[in-house]
Amino acid sequence: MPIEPLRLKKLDPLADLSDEDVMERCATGSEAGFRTLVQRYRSRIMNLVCRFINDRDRAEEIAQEVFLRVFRNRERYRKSGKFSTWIFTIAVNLTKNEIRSRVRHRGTYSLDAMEEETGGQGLPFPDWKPLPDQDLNAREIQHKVAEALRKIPPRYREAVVLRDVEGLSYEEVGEILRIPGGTVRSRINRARLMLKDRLKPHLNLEDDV
Amino acid sequence: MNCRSAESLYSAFLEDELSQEERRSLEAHLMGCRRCALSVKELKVTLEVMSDLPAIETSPHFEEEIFDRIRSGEALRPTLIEWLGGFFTADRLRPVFLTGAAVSALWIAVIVTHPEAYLPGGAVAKRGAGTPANSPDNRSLASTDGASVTPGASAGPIGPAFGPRAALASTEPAGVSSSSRRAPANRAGTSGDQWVDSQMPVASSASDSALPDPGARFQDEYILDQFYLDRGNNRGAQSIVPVSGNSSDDVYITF
Repeated sequence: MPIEPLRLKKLDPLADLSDEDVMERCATGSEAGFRTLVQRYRSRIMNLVCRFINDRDRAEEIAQEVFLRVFRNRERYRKSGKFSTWIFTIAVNLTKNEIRSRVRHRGTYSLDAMEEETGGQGLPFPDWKPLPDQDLNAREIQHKVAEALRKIPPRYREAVVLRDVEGLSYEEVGEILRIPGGTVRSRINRARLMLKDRLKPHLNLEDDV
Repeated sequence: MNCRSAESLYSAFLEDELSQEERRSLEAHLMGCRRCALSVKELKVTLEVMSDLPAIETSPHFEEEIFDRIRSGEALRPTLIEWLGGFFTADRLRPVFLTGAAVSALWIAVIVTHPEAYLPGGAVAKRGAGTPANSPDNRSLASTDGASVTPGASAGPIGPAFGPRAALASTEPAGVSSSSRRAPANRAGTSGDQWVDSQMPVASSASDSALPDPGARFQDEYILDQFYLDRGNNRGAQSIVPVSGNSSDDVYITF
């Protein structure tokens, strides 16, 4: 029986470290540390930004800018805070700036006014395009969810995306959006009810209650 | 529980964050309200759909583009806010704050120990103790508390507390001005806050208050910021006296 050559698996020395520890290494100049953080968070940041502004190309640019800001400010990061909260705060702020600049470009200065301006027909962003290799029904539902998200006011959208899409805790959402816990909870509950009302016709629920 | 208050608990109910009492109360409501029960079910499905949303992937070149931008240095120029944030760090600001706190503490200590030199209130107290009560100095100072108005010289548009006399009184060192000026109020027995008609002679005692005393002094009167009218008594001559107390200019006009 032939003996198989011993294969040495290349191990990532940072794989077992927490985000905070990796960020600490990154702050001391570790490129590998920064690369690890990009790999860990690229999808989540892209997801968050894209759900906010519904424009894939621009969302990717903003996501890149988020990581560049992390890199630029790596020495200012304090390990006492959660890295995820820090990076999501940067992402939310950049996304809000993007929304503001779009609104300003349209001659409107309030995010909520933009919703009013569009008559509740959604924000003036390109439609979300679902991925092509997905089941038709699931794609349709995802499209409807994206559309429903787009139509709720931004302050509700950001809270519900952070909680239900990104899976952050209420405390983290409050910290990122700088609002108290009670406001976070009521805002998320309200956002969910709005989404439920918009998605109800597409959910095929049997009235068996 | 009504439908509206039940609705506010839906999320907490689905996430199992209600207290036992709240849960029991909501469940009792859902048993009897078909509409709310359906709403909870719809919300549950909505949350499931939301959590099943696929992740939106970045392009394959995402990571390398970031590193290219870092290597080129193009993306590393800080924004103005970042630059300011980097410049005003805690280490840089700490000595500034400490110096500011020390200077403030020193200033407060000086004010507390020498109130007459800096605060109008302190000046009043000092003058009240060392200066005859009805002197023109005290008249002007009394007007700073807004409780009284100088006869013959109304507060004007600015008001008694902020007029030129108040400024004059509050900025002048009390000891110097009160000692260098003539002190006509020694002849009157009123306090600094108490005003009498400037046209009336001041009674020297309670017994002769009904009849004017031929020797009693009239109240002096401010004319301008720089002069007051020394009325003397009904036998003596009136004179206009400079407030400045410069002995060479002591008497300008004598009637």
